[in-house]
Amino acid sequence: MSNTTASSVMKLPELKEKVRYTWDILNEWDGAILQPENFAKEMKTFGDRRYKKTWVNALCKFEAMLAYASCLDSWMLLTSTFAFRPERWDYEYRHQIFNEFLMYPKAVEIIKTGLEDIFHKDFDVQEREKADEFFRLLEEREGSAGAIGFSTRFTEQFAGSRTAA
Amino acid sequence: MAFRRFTDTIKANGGDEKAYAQAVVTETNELFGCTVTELYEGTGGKTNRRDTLPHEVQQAYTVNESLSAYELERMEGTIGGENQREVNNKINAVVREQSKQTRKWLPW
Repeated sequence: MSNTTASSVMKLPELKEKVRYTWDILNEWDGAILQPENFAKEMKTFGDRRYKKTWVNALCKFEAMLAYASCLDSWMLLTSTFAFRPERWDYEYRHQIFNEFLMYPKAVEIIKTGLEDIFHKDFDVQEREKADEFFRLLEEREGSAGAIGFSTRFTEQFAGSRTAA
Repeated sequence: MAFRRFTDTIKANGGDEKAYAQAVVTETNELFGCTVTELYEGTGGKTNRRDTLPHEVQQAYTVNESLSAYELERMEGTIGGENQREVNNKINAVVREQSKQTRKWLPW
């Protein structure tokens, strides 16, 4: 997980805006934010709001929640949501966001479904290539102490077996 | 595939990955009055695979995403904003408005 220098480090005001934006999407109904006063209450659960770390933790939690809540198609997690390109604003937090997502009991099953879909013979090749950054994320995790990840060797074998089938 | 065209037009209008997520949340709320998770749980579909949702649900998504894409294609080059959130929100407003229109045609 050493490759974290590619993107610029986000400043606190921008970070706060990103946190609020994601929270708003999660709490929007029919174009209005439901109980906006809950934002401050929820933020308190992450700790002291004077520290950047508190906001980073909130951001990663909310990003994972949105990834889960918006997952109509599991393959989109691989080709878009978790396809972290270095120029993306959330690149520096990619591992923490993914770790938060993996806390969901169904997370591994959803990823597995996404893999099955993108390696299906009828899946668009250009669309599949968008998952390259997702596989890079997995590669970075491989060998990290205590990391919950997927073996990229597994996904390569998986791809091979699907192609052969 | 309607969804690809939908995501392509979101991107062409300056939307990022979060704009896709936002659009899916919005169209699901507007078309079915629930969240994506509730939709899968309520219909017994295999989670996160839309081809396992009831046929009429899939059709509603297809129609809505095609019409939203058409509208977004028409608007290409006109959506701007001071930051990514503003751009995404403008795209989302188009999706919401189209979803409200589509909803009127649905039997539920």
